[in-house]
Amino acid sequence: MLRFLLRRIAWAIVTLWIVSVIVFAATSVLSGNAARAVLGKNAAPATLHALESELHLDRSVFYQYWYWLSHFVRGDFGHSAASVIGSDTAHNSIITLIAGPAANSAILAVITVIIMIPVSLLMGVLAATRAGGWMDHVTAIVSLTAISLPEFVTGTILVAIFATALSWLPPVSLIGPGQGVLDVPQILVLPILTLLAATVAECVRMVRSSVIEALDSDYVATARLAGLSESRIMFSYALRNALAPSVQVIALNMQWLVGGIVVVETVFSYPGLGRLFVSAVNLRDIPTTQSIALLLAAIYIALNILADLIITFLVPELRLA
Amino acid sequence: MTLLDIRGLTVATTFGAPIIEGIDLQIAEREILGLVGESGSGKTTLGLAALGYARPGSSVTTGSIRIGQEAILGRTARDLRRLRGRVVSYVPQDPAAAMNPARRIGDQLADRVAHRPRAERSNLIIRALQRAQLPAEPAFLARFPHQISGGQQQRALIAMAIVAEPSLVVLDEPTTGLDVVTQAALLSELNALHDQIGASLIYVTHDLAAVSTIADSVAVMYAGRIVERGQLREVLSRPRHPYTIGLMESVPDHGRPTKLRGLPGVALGVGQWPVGCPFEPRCRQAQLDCTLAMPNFETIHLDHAVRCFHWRQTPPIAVHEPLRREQLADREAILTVDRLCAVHGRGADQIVAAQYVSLTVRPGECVALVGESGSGKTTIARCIAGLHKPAAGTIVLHGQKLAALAGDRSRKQRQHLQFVFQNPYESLNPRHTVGAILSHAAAMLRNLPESTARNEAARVLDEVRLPASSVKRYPGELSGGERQRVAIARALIADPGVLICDEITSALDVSVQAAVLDLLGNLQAAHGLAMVFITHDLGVVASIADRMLVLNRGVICEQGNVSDLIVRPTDEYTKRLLEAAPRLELAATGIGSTT
Amino acid sequence: MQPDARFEGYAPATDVAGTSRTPTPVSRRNFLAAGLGGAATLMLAACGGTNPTPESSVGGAHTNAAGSGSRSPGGAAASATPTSGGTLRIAFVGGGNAETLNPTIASLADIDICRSYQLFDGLVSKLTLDGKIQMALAESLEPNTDGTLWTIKLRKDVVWHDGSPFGADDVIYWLNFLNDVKNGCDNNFMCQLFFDVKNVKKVDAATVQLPMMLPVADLASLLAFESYGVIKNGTKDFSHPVGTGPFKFTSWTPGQQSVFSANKNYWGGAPHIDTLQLTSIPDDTARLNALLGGQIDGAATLPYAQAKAYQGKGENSPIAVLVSNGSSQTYFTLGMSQAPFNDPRVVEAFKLMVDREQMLSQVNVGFGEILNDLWGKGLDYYDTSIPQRTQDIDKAKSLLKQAGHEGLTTTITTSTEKSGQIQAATLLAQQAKAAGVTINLRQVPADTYYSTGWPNYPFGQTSYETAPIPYFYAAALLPGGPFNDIQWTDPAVANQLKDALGEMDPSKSKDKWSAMQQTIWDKSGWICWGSSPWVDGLSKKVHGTTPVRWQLASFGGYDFSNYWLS
Repeated sequence: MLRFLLRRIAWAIVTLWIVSVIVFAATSVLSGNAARAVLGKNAAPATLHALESELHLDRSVFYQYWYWLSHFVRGDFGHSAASVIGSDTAHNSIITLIAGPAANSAILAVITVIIMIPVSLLMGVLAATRAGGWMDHVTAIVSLTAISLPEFVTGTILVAIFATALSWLPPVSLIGPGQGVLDVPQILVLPILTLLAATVAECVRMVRSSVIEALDSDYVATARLAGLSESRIMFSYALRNALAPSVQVIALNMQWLVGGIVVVETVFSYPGLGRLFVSAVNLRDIPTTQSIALLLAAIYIALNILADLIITFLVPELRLA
Repeated sequence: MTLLDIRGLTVATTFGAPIIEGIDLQIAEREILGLVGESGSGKTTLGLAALGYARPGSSVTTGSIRIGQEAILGRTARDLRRLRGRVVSYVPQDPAAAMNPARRIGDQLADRVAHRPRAERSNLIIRALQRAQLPAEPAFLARFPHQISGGQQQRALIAMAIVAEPSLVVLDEPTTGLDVVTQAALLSELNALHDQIGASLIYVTHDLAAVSTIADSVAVMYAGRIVERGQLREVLSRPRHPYTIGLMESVPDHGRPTKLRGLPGVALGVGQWPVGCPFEPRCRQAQLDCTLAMPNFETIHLDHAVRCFHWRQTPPIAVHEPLRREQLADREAILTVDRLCAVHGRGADQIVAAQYVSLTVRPGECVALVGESGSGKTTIARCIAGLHKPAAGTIVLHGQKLAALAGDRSRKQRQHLQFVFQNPYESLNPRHTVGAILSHAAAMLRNLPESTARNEAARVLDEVRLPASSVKRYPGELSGGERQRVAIARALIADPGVLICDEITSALDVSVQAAVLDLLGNLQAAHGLAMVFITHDLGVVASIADRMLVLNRGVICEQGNVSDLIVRPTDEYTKRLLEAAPRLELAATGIGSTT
Repeated sequence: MQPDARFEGYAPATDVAGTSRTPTPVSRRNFLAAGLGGAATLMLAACGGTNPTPESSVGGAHTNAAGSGSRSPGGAAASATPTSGGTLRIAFVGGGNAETLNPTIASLADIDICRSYQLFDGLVSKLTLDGKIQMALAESLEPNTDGTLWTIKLRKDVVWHDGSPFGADDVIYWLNFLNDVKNGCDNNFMCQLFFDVKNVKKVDAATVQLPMMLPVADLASLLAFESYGVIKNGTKDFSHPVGTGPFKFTSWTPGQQSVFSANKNYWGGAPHIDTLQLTSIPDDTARLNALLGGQIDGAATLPYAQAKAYQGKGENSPIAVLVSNGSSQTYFTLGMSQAPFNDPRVVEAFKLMVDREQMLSQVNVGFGEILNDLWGKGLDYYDTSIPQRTQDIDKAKSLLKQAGHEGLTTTITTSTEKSGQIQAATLLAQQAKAAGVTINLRQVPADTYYSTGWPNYPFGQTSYETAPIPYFYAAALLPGGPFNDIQWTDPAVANQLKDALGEMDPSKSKDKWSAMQQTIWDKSGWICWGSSPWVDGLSKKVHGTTPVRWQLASFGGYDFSNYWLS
């Protein structure tokens, strides 16, 4: 188990390194000039050159990458290129820049997951035990609709209903300076509902089909023929074995959340990492883009490893192999 | 004293087609009944009906079932749950799939005695384990199903079936899929167990040989009806239904090596039953009246009864001539394997599958590789076929040294060496028609133009006794035996010199196995094919092979002519295999014995 | 409805020469109050009418608007009494984590410009009302006879937000800050072209002398643009900025929100509202949703189609639509140093291919007005005597034929950087077909349009906020300026421009600017086909808005000092 973990972590580091190269190439080679992006079109050539040399844009890409990497591995994530001019030092360090939005996104994701897992399991099991019944059909229609709608459409529909028509909830996630998202919890509701609509549906369908598959298995038939109680069969036999594939899909959806949050944050102007990421890309802010991309990739990989660990724990063949 | 009393039982699909019909069956206390028939005969449906269970999509339409004082049919789900496991229990066919993979053996046993007072439970579990010849210790109880061997899995399922002390146990093909040694051990243990628990057993199987070692009485099913029923000895010594005779003749017996005669034709599916006797199309003694009406169940004497108009004309079981084998030693070897070594895995996990295995095969000769599962026989076959890279050794075909992997061999070489896999369900592409599968192989290996390939496909289909219309069908529409014939046809269309058959009959019913072996024997004779035949069944070896190599943990422990080795084995391992091989216990009846 | 029409229509400044170069100081508050007439109703009516009301300018570029009593205080605003207090909440697209409170680099995001105007003042105002420039922190700007030395007299009643007095030291520090290339200031190029900052001289606590490297006849028109907020002596950090503007800094999170409080001691008069909250909501739909849901009181830059829809609802519209005409100009740029546009005949042919009316109605959904390939229609110095260029396919074809470019195929670089650009390029391609010209579209991502090839695209599109005519042409056509997106490097043109910029005699100045613009109209690679006004949405509880023609951008040029909430 330890060897497995160490090997996975080693691979994770290699993957992250590759991600850093790709993101670096994408942001620095394939598109515009950060100095121009930061200064805007008013900048005269002399001003541009000054900033270019400050950002090392006048050096080769390899030097720029090496400069970034050598500082990064020493724990120096660097400074946001977007704010090097104008000496806004308070907002300059990437750690400071990312910390707040990252926490906000984490709050969104964690609450979503905390709701997503039990709801998916419960609805999936209910739909599976009543397979073919009205409850199953309703679940199927609702989840198919939710899956087929892109999250910005779901978000817009939710806004139209709960914000514009009913005025129950704010349509946009505005928080004042110095406030945290938890100070205005009502702004969390619609983004979380949107994320849930996109993820729960798929999880429910997977849990449903895994449970149905398990209920259809020889061991459940054998347990039925041995006179076991239905609750024992449902939990210790069907659901227990449906958990591993369900965890896989839940983990996939959690990984999807890493990206889905970017879209949802845009729709609701939620002050999270996704919004920061979009703005950093727009500004050709390579250090910030790199740091966020690596953070997201690391979360993605960590979720992957975690899911594998849980599945390994759930499936004795894997655990004891 | 009658324990199980089934009267007028009919189980039908929801569309009304009967799966079993008009079943009357009584089993006495402590009786062991062998319920025998080919796939699709309805034997499992009948066995499950005894538990008040009908598969989804089917239901009991008429009839009654009683076990002791309890009526089984017409009970509520809750009542049935109370009866199952405690009055009647079930041992399913595939032990690996029938156990909850995520639950410890001990917990699964405990689930089945949850209704008992806590104090009794562990005693019941320990007793059940002991009776099933399993270690009754905490370490074993803490195991998960995948951590124990196939034989142990089957014993664990038996322990689960008897732990709540039922009066009737239905065992559904409990030994299919086990190798001969394990099967033999399990059968003898079942006998002992039966003495201890005092329950009645229904042993559902396609293999008369397995039943013959254990059952008191036998019921033979065909197309949803019992066609013959009686005391085991009486039925086996003087079978009255031609189908029973066909089944008996299908059983390969190493003590009595004969050319097997499979039952011609295939069993009828649900919904295809004719007005008359359903066996009539395959029957050797059918007459006109057989097609007009269903024969009644006629009692011959005591409780021996048969469903045949012409049972009086049924001949006694014939003693076939023993197989004569040609002397081939003077022919030049077509395939030579020299000091082959093969391993699985690497590093610390490495398993040696073959050590210095050498063998030669001559044209027209069949060499059998025999051993239990894990003996390395399949790995050797895969090395020869170029599917597994050997660690050392050479393989020479037609005097040419072969490359290690099939991809590096010439097309001519690949064409000359054909492989038939164990599982015809997995080896045929389900999205291609039989015609496409065959002509594709012809085009690939012989570079034939399309029209010629199509003619060749028709020719080989005829050779494997499949109708020409099969070209349009998909593997999914074929029975297991038919699929294996297609797999053989695919090998034949390459016009090979050597055919490697890896356990090609182990997934088939005995009657179908007999037909396939019959076919292979004929093909070998007709084409002078050299064959390497992998099997664990010495009966099969005796009926097809000329020479055999006995493999034990990757090492050849004995080899020689089949006829010699079967009579005079020297190695302990060979002896054990021989003892374990199932035979129809006819010696006791004095009929058909060659000794 | 007379006042409405006046704001609606446009008032060309026919008289370029000022009657006086010594503007008298004016309270911004008084000045703006004068223009309040009909503001409340204007929000809905904006852009409704098309009848221009010709009106003579009361003076030249340096004339203050003290005499603007001629503007009739009108209808709705006159009858409603402004109430004080409350929080005004306005949302912009925002600039993400690049947002800054540094007023010298504010040009990247509208919200930065807006904030800089709240916290800081320039020496002169931005363009206001009818295209004139007012004095702000400067009391007067006085040149020597040849325009090479300017004396800047400062207001004496201005205090910084921290209570310290404003004076010459602050201005000198600020000029040096602009001059230091390391600070990356937007207007640094002005220091390289004109302002001789090294030789700036403090005359007394309220007077500064700034020498020029070239003669400058109209300094105010070079100072009336964004990113000219004067910073306090010694300022290095802008995280808690101290300015002189109508609002004081309270708190701010970049990319999210800032909260400013009213500066009760503002020299131009305190704002009505107590608190101004400026929020970044990048997504257009989210911004509109926030407005409809009452989370904000104003949303900058509505998409035209939606703005049109809400305008169409009239009184039933849940929000008011505020149109700032003339706030932005959109045009195609032909790179005059690159083939085929190095041939003047091809350049002229392209200008003749465009059907401007069709562009306006299809691309801008009718917002804005057509332009004549010249910058700053309606501003001082603009030459209205040059005839409007119209589509002339036959002439375009014959010019192309002469140039040997019949059936020309070329590629325009376009993006969604500003809404409507792709549509404009597509429509141009259609119109060009009539002249046998094939225009292919090369779309680049919106966020890289200005950072990849601009200003060196052979054929592209640019969109600018309106700046004074001398500022714009100096930035575009003098060597070292940043806006030369047509790559026009003819020294004769630069010299002609320098000559016009430095002409001190008002009547000669008018002729020189006319000649300059005729040259540009004839030769330049700018196809300046129309104006694309900024359109904002406002809650109906917001009053005191001033939708005026020449404001730089949203909300009447980001001026909230007259806004009040009901």
